[in-house]
Amino acid sequence: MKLNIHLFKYEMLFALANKSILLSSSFFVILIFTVGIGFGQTGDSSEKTVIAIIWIATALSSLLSIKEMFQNDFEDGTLDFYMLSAATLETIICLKAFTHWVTTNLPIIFLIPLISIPLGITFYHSILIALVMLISTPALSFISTLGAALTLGEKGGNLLLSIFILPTFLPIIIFGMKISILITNSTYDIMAHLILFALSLICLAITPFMTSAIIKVHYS
Amino acid sequence: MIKYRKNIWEFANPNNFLRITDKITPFFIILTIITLSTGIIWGLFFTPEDYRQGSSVKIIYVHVPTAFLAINIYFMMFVTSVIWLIRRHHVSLIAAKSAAPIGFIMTLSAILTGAIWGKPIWGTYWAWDPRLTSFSILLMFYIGYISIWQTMKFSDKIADLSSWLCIIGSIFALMSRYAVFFWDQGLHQGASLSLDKKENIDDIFYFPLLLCMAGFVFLFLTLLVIRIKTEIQKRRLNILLSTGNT
Repeated sequence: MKLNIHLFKYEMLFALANKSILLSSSFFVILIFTVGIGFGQTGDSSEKTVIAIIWIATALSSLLSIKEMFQNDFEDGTLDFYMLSAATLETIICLKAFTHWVTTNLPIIFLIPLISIPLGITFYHSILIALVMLISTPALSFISTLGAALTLGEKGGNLLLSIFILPTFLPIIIFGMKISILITNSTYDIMAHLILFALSLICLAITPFMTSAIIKVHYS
Repeated sequence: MIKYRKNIWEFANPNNFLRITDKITPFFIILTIITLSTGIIWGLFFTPEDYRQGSSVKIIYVHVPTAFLAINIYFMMFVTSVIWLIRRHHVSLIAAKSAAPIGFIMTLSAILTGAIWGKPIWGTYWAWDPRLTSFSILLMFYIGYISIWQTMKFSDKIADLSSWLCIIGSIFALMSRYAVFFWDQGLHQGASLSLDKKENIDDIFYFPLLLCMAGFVFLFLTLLVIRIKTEIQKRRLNILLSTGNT
């Protein structure tokens, strides 16, 4: 347990020193405004369009930093030491996914109320959408570890990674979009969050084991 | 003559596989020609027109078999990938690899024939209906699986990675399917064929449809066997070329 806490501290410090928080959140803001301006030319600026833009921007900006999850550790040999250490690979993967979530998705969630009010969503609705995001984005981070493990050690595997990972985001995006649309229709029940929470928990339960199996393929 | 074998896994030996399939393939080809031609001709020319849909109903003889195969080929790839990961039989891996492009074409043709049918009947080529959405998601997973084979050089590592990708894809394709069906059943009608007779289509359309489905299944098997044989020969040639120059 002490080792795990130490690893967690190390991972967090490393991720914060990387300035990836700034990068992912600024990418999110820029993406929202470019797509928003594009939709603004069509004259269609309903709440539903803005919600769709927010969801797609979240998925894309969490896609950006997937590649760095294991790549540096794989290249400089840290991952070898992790595999030899007393901490299990699954724990390491959970820590990686959690730090990825904290550094890329959590800033976005805080940005959503700030950014969506000028785009025409009421404050109450934007808080609820941020809540939906808070529950569903851990699933995105955990799924991302699968893609990071699949394209490990592959030079220029970024495009391949997007091809693999974007379709796997779809269940979460579909459920999240539907529930966000329910919020704007005010036919909304707090129980609708449960399915997203369940999806996040399923991903937390399955993906670390699959990811560790995939990483072990690279060492066989 | 094929000897009696104790174990089904002995068929996974490429030599045995080649010897047996060399004998079986002509029968597959003949069966494909017979079932597909009789099914298509019976379906297109000797069935009455639907009272509401007119002659556009006849696209069912291509649409339903291709859609059926599109889903089941992915399931087959899942099973063969799991067999490769557990038992390391190369023929199983090659089967998954060879089935993927066929499944991709089947998915694409199911979507296209559906679009052609949808224009006169629904008034639109494409709608974000649950069934159509889940088929487009299936298409994306096929593209992902094919692209890993196309972009990376063959090795056992890539074989493992592609098998894992297939497993991930089948899990998330299933999850997406339930995600899109969660709220509504959509525009698309229910299954045309099912084992309980109550919701089946009329007998006039039913028997040619069954023939067409059998024809498409045999077509898939023929193509699959030929592709696997080609792949095995190709890999043997590569090994010969890489070791022959010493």
